[in-house]
Amino acid sequence: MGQYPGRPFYNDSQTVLASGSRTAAPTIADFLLESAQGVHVILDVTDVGEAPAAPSIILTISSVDANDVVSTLLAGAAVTTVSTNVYRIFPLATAVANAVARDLLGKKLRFAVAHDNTDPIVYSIGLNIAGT
Amino acid sequence: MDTNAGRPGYNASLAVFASAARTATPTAVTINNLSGKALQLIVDVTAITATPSITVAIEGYDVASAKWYSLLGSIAAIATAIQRIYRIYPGATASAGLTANDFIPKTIRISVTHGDADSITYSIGANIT
Repeated sequence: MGQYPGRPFYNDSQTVLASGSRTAAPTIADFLLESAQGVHVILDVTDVGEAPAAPSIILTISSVDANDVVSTLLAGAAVTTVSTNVYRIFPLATAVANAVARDLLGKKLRFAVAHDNTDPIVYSIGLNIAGT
Repeated sequence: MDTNAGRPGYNASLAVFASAARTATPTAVTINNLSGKALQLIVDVTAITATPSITVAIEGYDVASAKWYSLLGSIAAIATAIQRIYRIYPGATASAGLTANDFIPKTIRISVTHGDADSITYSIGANIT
């Protein structure tokens, strides 16, 4: 999935994770970016169940270097409600904690979603890539 | 609209909405933005009758959720004959409701919501670089 999105110069849109109900951290393939200077990552939560269910997830976006060393680019805040959450990473950004990172992307992006408990939560993750 | 908008190496100028008197919310316009990162959106209001009010929205599209998300939040309503320019580009000095430090994604949408049925004449142009 997502092998070399970000064709040189062109913008691109990708689905990182299709909408689905989940109770534990999903496996997400790394994204190899051919040519990208910035990303919008959209975490869209559409169902959190009814109380006493109280799911909570945190999306982390990381860069993986050629030695497979992982460095965090941006970690979101815990999401517990039905909401659309947009995370931004690009070199000229104005940083906002848990939402916007002023940084380079590198070539390999890794997405991880940590679940705080096993209560089901329905969400998708989309990716908009700004070509160089 | 204009699938060549933001063709690599080229700037693009688009007439998103031609000048016309309107009394109701027009159909939103979607722009396929091949490679543009920056947007200037020029709203030019030239005439009003009574007390119209319009609010512009600039949004990006998420393919995973099939939803739109805001690229420039808290845009104030326009109620007078005025030219207003909205800007989105990497490195911009942000100004609430006018300028965002961001890039524009592959698919963007421009919409205008009318607050009432009073007539207002306006055009909207887009410069994409």
